[in-house]
Amino acid sequence: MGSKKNYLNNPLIHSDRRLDQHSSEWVRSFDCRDMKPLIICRGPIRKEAMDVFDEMGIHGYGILLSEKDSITYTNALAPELRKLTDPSRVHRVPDYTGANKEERHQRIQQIVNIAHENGYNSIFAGYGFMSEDAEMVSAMEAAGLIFIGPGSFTQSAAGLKDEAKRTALAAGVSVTPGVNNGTTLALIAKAKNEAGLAKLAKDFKLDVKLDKFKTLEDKAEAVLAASYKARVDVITVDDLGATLHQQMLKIFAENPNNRFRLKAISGGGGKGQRILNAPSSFKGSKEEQIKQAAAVTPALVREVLAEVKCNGVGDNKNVLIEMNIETTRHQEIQVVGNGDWCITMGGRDCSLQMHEQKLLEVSVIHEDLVNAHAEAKTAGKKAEVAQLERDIHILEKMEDEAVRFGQAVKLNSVATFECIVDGERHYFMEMNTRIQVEHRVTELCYALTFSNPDNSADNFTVTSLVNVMVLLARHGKRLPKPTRSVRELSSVEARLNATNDALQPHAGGVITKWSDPIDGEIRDDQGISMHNPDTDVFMKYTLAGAYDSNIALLLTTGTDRMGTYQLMSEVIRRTVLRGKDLATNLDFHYGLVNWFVGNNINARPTTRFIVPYLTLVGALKEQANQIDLAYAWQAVRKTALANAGKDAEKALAAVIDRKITLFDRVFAPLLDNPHVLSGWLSLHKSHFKVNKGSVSWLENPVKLLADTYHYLNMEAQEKAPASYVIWDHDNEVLQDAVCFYATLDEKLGNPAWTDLQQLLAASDAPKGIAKKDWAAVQAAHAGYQAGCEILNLLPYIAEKAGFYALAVNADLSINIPERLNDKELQDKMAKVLVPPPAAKSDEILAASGGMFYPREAPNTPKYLEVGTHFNKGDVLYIVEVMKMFNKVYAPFSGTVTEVLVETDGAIIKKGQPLFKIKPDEVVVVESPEQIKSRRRKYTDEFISRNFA
Amino acid sequence: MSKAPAPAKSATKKSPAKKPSVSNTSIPSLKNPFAESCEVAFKIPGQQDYAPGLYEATLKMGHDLIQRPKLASGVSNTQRQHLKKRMTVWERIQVLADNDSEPNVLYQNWGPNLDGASLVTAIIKVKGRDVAVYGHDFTVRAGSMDATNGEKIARLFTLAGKLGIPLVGMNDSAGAYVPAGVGGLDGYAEAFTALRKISGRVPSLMCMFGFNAGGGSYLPRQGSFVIQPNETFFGLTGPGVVKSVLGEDVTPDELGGPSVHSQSGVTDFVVQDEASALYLVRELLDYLPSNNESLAPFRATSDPVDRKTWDIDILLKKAFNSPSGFNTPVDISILIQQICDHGDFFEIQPERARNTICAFGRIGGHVVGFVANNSAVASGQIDIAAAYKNARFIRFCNLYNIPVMFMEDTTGFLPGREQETGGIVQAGRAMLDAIIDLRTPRFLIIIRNAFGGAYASYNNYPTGADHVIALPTTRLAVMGPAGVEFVYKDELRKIRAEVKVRAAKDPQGAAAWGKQEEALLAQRYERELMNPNEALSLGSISSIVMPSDLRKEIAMNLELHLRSYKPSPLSEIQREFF
Repeated sequence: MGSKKNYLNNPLIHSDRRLDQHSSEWVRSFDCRDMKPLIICRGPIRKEAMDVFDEMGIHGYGILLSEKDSITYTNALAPELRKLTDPSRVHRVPDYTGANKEERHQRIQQIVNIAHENGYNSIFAGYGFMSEDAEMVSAMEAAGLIFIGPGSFTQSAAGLKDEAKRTALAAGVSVTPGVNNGTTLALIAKAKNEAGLAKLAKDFKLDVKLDKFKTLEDKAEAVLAASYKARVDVITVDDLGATLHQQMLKIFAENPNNRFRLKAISGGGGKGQRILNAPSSFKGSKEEQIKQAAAVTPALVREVLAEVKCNGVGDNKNVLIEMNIETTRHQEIQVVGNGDWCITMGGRDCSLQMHEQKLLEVSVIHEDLVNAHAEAKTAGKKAEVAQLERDIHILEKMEDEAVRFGQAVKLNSVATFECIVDGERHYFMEMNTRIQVEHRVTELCYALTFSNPDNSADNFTVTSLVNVMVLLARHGKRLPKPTRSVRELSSVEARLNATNDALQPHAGGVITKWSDPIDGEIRDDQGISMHNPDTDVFMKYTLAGAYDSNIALLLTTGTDRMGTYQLMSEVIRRTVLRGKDLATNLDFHYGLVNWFVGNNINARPTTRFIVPYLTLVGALKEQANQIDLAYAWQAVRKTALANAGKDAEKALAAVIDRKITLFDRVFAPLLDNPHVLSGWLSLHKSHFKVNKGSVSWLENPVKLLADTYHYLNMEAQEKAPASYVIWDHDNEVLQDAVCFYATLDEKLGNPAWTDLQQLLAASDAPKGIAKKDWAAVQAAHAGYQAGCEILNLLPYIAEKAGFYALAVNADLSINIPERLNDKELQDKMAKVLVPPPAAKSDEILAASGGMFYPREAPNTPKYLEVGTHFNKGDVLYIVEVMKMFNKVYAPFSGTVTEVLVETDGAIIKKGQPLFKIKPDEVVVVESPEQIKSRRRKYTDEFISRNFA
Repeated sequence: MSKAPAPAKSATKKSPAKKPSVSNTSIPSLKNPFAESCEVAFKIPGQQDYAPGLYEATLKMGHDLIQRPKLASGVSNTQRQHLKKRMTVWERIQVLADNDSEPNVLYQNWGPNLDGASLVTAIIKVKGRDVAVYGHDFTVRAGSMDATNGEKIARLFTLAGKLGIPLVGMNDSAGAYVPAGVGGLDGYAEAFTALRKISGRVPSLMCMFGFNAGGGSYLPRQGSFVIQPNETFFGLTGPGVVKSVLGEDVTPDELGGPSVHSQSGVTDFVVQDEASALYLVRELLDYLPSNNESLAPFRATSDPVDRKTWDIDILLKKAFNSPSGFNTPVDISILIQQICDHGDFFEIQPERARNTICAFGRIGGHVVGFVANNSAVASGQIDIAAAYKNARFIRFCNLYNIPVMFMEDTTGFLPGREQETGGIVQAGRAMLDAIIDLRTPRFLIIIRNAFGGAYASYNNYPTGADHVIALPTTRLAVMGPAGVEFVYKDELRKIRAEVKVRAAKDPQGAAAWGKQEEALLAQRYERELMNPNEALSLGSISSIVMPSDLRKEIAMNLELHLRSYKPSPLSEIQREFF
């Protein structure tokens, strides 16, 4: 079977994990075959868990199908069923979470019942919504089921924000600086002690019993609560201002480079917030800077309270101080514990994300950082060395804190310690008490070895975190503290999502072909690539993009980050993913990974990188859209012929015409797919110079052309359809040319391209080449180079788009040009990347005749009323044809301006106007002539800069 | 750059010469001076010294003859084909055939120039099976037809029929070769005839590449299935002639593109590009027998045949318990998916008339055809397009010994002026006749609605069904909900009279009362008559099957009927009409 080699048997993620066959009795005692887990989630983790369980010798597991796995779409049947063919182990729920609290409760009961009725003794929840629900976990525990994951104690200790923060502080974990009890502190400052509080309470006639509370803080809070009830002010706005001023002085002293935010507790939607600038933005000594920065606090407190109208008597006037998170990197530490011991397995950097959706996650482990540090030192990159030193230091601190926190919350499974890293500081955000989507990044880097405390030679090694979870769930406290060892120095995960080129959610489409994984590719795809077991054909799969955009996780490893990224690039390069109406972010990943390969593999992007990057890619597309390729080619041809001597003209014309397909072929994929172009421009940035639109090459364009065919996965391949790769007659010319220059390089000692051109222009043969061959060599050079000027278009586009202004600084931070942060430009470029569906009219016409219903049922609200905004794909109305109620969906987005048919059951005719609407995007019809002339004008400029 | 370069006389300004890198004096060439050229040597394995003599010279001539059809066109013609994003016939064969196989080319040099006369015929391997294939070589004389290649293609058809192997056509022809005169027309006529003679004997799959007109359209449509990639055209004649004859301004895509033909049923499948078309041929062949006396490929399945179809239960529960109750559309393809092995099925004409779904799938490893009303599209009513789509598919299954599963959920044939004008009576009749003629194992599975004429014409016992089962949700009645007017004629008359009386006192109250009473009658009608009871009592339905037992029930009965079924050529006499 085609899918077997790298998919079903990849040694990086598959192995015999059974312990019952082991020679050591101690090791055998950790057998887990008596586990019978019920898997209650979907997504890539479900298939992974099934595989790991089977490999551990646990064969009785069951799965829960949700409606999205079975009846919501055709051709979207859970692919896992191709492997799990025993119907008695497949169970069904409408969904995993329920739409509200009651349904949620009901669902938990349902799962418990399914487990009991079918003899399951444990639950595996993956990273589903339920996995971090303390209520769910306690319910499972109460029902006598083993929860494979952190227990309810850990869940609540780490889950409740206040509690977690207190625990973190107690454990010496670095949390974000700030104040969330300003009013309490102000009251304490005013009252000074308990007697003062009691007096205040008495003066204001508050109904509060102070002896019920222990700490002064709790007592103060009680007084405040009573004051809100009695609608009196025990503290004034000025009291609060003074207190927060004091707090700011303290905070700024510790964080002189950060901006802070004042936020009224009743604010929201951007209201009731003010920013305090960082001391470092002021002049003077350090003390003076802090003083100036904090000075505005009382005034700003008044402002925010006035803005949210909380300055009345008895209003809760609390104002929070929060650090303003700006250039942060998102890093997280993998933690494993059994309640007694706790260890970490290095970190992951998840900064490459958009709208909180992670896209590319890369391993951050000590050993790899040390290697990168040594390399940078050897290369004499001072700023880079300093940054890497900081990273090593921060990683150490984070791992250290993660262990302490994990121990404090008695972690008895796996969890993630999430931090943000801002410059030289890091802050703990929260602990995710479950396995994370990106856990493979970690398990590929470190293995865990559990050794017999009495005999260290008696041990076993585990390479899967899911396996570790099962071991911990089954044997818990009996497991000795493991040691970690490096498997791979680096790993990276790309999340393959059903999103369009602008990374917006897309309906999904149908996958009709997905090539088999290549060597070194890890593809967690829920089983989509598992062929039909009976016929060995790829089964088409409908993506539920609008609901769950993640299709698969792609991972690669390497001995350093460069190798890992290059392998990821190779994986994507060779991936053939085809389908109907299919949109994925695969091209985006190809461009992004190669942006890092081409710019600086150690660049430290922040969470704010992706949107500006996308905007830049949009700018590339905007330029590419302007090109008239055929017109440019004619200019190249004409210029070449005009420059050729009379004798050469005819031969040159033949040569150029022979190469038209050779060049034509690479342009469509580059100009149509700006993400692919972004990767190309990043990889080749050192191969050309552009000066005011005029391009000169620092590398032989023939070699670049051959590389480009390779980059596009279009080099000659025996088994690929001819129409997907270089045409054979083009390959002949290209291979001859490549061989020709390889021989020249060899004979002439690898001169630089500019030097080689000089040599070849000379009238006499240089040393190393026979005189008699010289004319033929020059003729071949002229022939092979003919037409290559058309490639000038690519650097030209890059310069026009300002592509190289997004660059990596010496200290590994990334310079983001200000314009790319402009929201207006971002929106505009998103529309260039994915033109929104445009409306052709201002009316919605009946798609068919029948009876019209503006709502789903008599007691439900109407779908559309005047002023309703609808998105493409929303239900507009229902038409009843012969007693069938058909939903009609919006073909584009817009707003209703007038409802023309109102009554339930009105008879409508095909083509009858039903609503007047204002479409979001009005079609601006550009005639073919206008497009042509616009493109010619743009291309003329290119021609004049390059061939004039 | 998609067009070949026009002679340089366009808008660019004349500019002074500036090109430092390449010397002006040399004559550019594409010959690598360092490469060693080598002649083909005709050595026997192990032969040491090689001194070519007369014998080798003869072998060389033979070698050149073998090569000639592939090299006849020259690079520039091939390039022109490639600029149109089209492959050459040789490249197409390579995509279609198994990776490790060589095409067995027939009559390779036939034609006055010994170049194969712009048509390639061969036997190739597809998933290990022999398949006859022809393809026009557009790079030679634009793939046009003359008497020679008409006879050549006819011989291939005859051979395919004789061997009982499927036929694949890769059509890419400008039409008849005009210099050949009437000979070209005779060529077509000969091909038409030979293809018709094997129709019903072996299945034929036709890919429409490039720009085919006239006979180049009829010939492929004589085949079983037509596959059309985007950016291609076929039809009676191109936009040029249409403009000159009718004055109509129309683009090739509007005239004969996939969006046109997929809606009329002239094209069965629309695909992205040429390679996808050839991949689809490979996929479809896996569901088809090689000829009319064998069964389609059996594939033992790891999906238990007694697997409970709980998901059908969940789907129906969700749909029928929703606010619109039993009037909620249900996507029938979800049910087909649940019944098939591993949920895998292959839809025919998926762009057209999806109010009926025609598909191939496997149950317990056996290929079956599905003909299913789909209430999710246009209420699942049978209109002209749906009726012809069904008729065509049923006839195909009949000829090639494929059992058919009918799934019924329709309120009936679509009435109305538009349909009558278009000839719904003839279309519905075609479907009915196709059903009556069907001789393979044929089941009817009633999902919900089966009213009146739609029931009567849809594979019931009297029309020859082997097995009729029904879900408990079945509503089999002489009429749909409108039947209340006939069944409760008297009651309704009474109510309406009473309304008039009451209206004198309280017009509004009377109307409301009348509406309520009529609603009660409608409910009574649904309760008493829209159910499977009468049909069960009359033996029109064999048994009620729970939704979760559907796969098991069908698989069991399919096994039963197939055990005694002998695949054989259809020997019925020819009937009137198709």
